[in-house]
Amino acid sequence: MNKRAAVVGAGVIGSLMAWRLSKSGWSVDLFDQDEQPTRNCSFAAAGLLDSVGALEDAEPLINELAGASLEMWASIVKALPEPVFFQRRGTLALVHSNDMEQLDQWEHRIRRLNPTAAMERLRGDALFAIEPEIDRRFQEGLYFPLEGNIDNRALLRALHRQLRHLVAGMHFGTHVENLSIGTVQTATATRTYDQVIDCRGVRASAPGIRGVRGELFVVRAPDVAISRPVRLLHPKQPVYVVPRSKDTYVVGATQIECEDYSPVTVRSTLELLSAAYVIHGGFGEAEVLESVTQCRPAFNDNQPRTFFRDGVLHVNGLFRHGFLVSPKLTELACELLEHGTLAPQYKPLETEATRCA
Amino acid sequence: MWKIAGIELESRLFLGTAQYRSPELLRQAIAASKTQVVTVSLRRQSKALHGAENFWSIIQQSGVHILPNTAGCRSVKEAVSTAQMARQVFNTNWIKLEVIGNEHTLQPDPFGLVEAARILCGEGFSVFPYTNDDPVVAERLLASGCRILMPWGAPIGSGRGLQNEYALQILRDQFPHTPLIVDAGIGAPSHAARAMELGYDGVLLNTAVARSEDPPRMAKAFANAVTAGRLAFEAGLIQAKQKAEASTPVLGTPFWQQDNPGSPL
Repeated sequence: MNKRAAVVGAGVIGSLMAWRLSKSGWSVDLFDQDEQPTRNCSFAAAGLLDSVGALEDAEPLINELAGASLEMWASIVKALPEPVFFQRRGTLALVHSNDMEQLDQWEHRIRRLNPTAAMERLRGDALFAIEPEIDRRFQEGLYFPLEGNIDNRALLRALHRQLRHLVAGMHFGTHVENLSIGTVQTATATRTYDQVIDCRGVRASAPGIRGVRGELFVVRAPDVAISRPVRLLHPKQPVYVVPRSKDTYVVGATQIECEDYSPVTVRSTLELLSAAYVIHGGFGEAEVLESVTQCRPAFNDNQPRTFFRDGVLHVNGLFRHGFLVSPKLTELACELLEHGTLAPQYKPLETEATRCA
Repeated sequence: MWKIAGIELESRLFLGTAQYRSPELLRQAIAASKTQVVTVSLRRQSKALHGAENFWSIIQQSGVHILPNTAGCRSVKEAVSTAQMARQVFNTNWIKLEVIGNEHTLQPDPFGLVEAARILCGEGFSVFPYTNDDPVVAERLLASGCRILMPWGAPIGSGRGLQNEYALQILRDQFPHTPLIVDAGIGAPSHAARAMELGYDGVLLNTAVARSEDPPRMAKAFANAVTAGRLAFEAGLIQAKQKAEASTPVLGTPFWQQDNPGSPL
């Protein structure tokens, strides 16, 4: 008989865990508190796959997981029965001429941490050859030719549709009240499993996890034709514009140290949308389709983790890097599950984060 | 040991808490700097007071004094109400008062600053005003009830070091008994050491540590620089001279060498 696993939380990491375990012969139950998991952090994401650029404030391990994950997304998307928008046409990073030192510092840090990273400094016409419509005030930028982006929502929907055929049970709209080694307790039942996996992000029982507020906008901008993600460096936080399907763009994202889900503030609105408007004046006429607030699950060092605690396998702390690292992190979590340990270079992922509250 | 706003401190380095790549790096930097005072911004997190326990607890557990600030406030009213909120939240009457006069240079607005300082001192706050290096503004701040002055070295976040050492020296000479802290513009440990050599009581910095490649290591570098600069001030720096002066006495040097000014002494 197949081994039975419960995966709790159907964001990107929970969904990939359920997918991967089902494919390798486990009988999986997938739980999520929402009927349609649209309130989670993964659904709110932009799907920016900035495997190199993320080094700006991430550690080299993220870069390594992200590089492997980019390759894996291609095959995951191919294996899904419906098309999901995924591209690797590179990404751009722009900077105001006043903040040029910031671009220098960013480039320097990336070169130092990853000397062979695919990154080019572009000036003037070379920049506009890549993205002809960006505002001419930008005369310099960094181009990351191997980076990409994925329509995170379409991916989750497609994954969930396929999981309905793959897993033993889809328990959406089911609140898990308690989980422990081998059991998952809901309002109506207590089920037993060979392995329980907690992928609930901020709501998980993982020690030391915190929520970091992020706000973003989804806009429809028919006057704008930008075909790859464009980041604008800013002293406080980089703002990015990520193209999704036709005419739709995601503009994000703030990063505020608090676990607060209240609506987007005026300040954040001004910061994000004025940045988009500066990149391309056509955003002035865009329709705001959505404003989104979510909290990213993060450990104190903002690095992801997978570890056993009291017999429960945790995969958590993906922070801003959910879509960036989840395919490789899924592989590693399964490796930990099957072999009880990780290869030496991935040991930091297994370290249980210290509790600070 | 030195004393500021009624508290005895060992360290003369004040550290900001913004812009770190992670809270864990912030924690390590605080520990490595041996700082005893960190400044925290309330403004962007005002709505987060109940949602950021995890973040605050890192700062609180490090056992340092918290100096709330009014970073980014552009009006007297905004700065005063932020200070009042900070007093409740952090249970301290300390406030690093910033009233920003220019969004681009983040220069202090001296007029608003003096007015806000007068109001807050009247309400019993211990005001640490972020000011420019103008002695007249400094006098007005002291007349408003401030007991501490925090002149800038250079614009916030610029890392340019002490842009007007002459003005800073004048402030030091004019206010020998007022605690003076250089706040803003410090980019390198040598800048911090220089401020301490001038006789400043402390330095406050953030970006230079937070955005460095290795914040805990840079925090330690600043701690050493501040200690070195202070020791140098206490030891008494020699005066720079126009000409060389032999540290080896000329007496006892063979006469043919004395005749040749180009020969090594």
